Amino acid sequence: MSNKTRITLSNLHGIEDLKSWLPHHASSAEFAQRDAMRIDRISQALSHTRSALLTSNPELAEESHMSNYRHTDESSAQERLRIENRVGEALRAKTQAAQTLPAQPNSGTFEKITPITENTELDIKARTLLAEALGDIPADTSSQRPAIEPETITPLPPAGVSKEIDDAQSKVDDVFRDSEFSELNYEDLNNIPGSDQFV
Amino acid sequence: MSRLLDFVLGHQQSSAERAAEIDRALIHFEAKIGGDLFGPIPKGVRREFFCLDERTWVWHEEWSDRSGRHVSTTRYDVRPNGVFKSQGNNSYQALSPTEARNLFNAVYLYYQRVVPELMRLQHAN
Repeated sequence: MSNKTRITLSNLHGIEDLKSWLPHHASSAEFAQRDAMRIDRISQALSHTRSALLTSNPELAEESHMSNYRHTDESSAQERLRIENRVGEALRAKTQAAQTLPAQPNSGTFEKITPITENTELDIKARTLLAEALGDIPADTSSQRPAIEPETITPLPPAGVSKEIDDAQSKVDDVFRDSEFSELNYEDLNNIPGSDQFV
Repeated sequence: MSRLLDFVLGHQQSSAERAAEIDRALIHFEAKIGGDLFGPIPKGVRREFFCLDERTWVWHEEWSDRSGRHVSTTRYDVRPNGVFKSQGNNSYQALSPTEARNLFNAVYLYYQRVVPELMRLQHAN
């Protein structure tokens, strides 16, 4: 890699830096492709890492579970409130319907007051609203959550035994090989353009 | 025929090199965002945190004091049964509960901060 590229890589602090770096090294299409691959890679890394951490840390899994549960519970509370409002609306509609019905003959008893049947238009509307509201309730999936069993952590082999581990270290080295970081002294660190953004 | 093969192979290699170079540029870009996830960085300290690949995270710090310059690189290897950290070439350790929790949160923050920036980069070009 050229010296110019090496220096520029270490000084990429924003979109403008990347855009000025880009034309000398790759087309926009190539960049977009690699950029998309990075997004995909990070998404996978997030998934793998959180899964591995939850598997190996029962306490963390429990905390996460509780956090999710609280979140779900809060969501459920909001959902319940929304449903209650819609049910209330339906009941109000039903009451209004009753009030607008023709006056019943003066029977003198409640038993003889004709109930609003399910066939009235307003009752059907009320029932529809209720059904819609109830249909929105999320299914209880708590019983489907997989049990998380703490696993025994197996010591990894020493360096050099696992090719996979060595490959990972090589990739780390490769990233820093093109970096000027390891060649800097204290004064240089203070003079890196843009480094004050970290302070 | 030989010259054509050389041309094709040469072109492929060049393409692969460019891809690797773009990846490194993006990682450097991400690493600066990643290093900023943990609050202000003291003057004279260089801190980077980034996703190397689907199963590797890297924490890198450089600083100087009276005893000289220090460089520390910690690699977090993600395995199906847990995450293990490696500093240097010889030690592989399981994470403490606190470190596991911090990493758990850090990778999520990284995703939240970095991915929108990468998407913005796509549109900026």
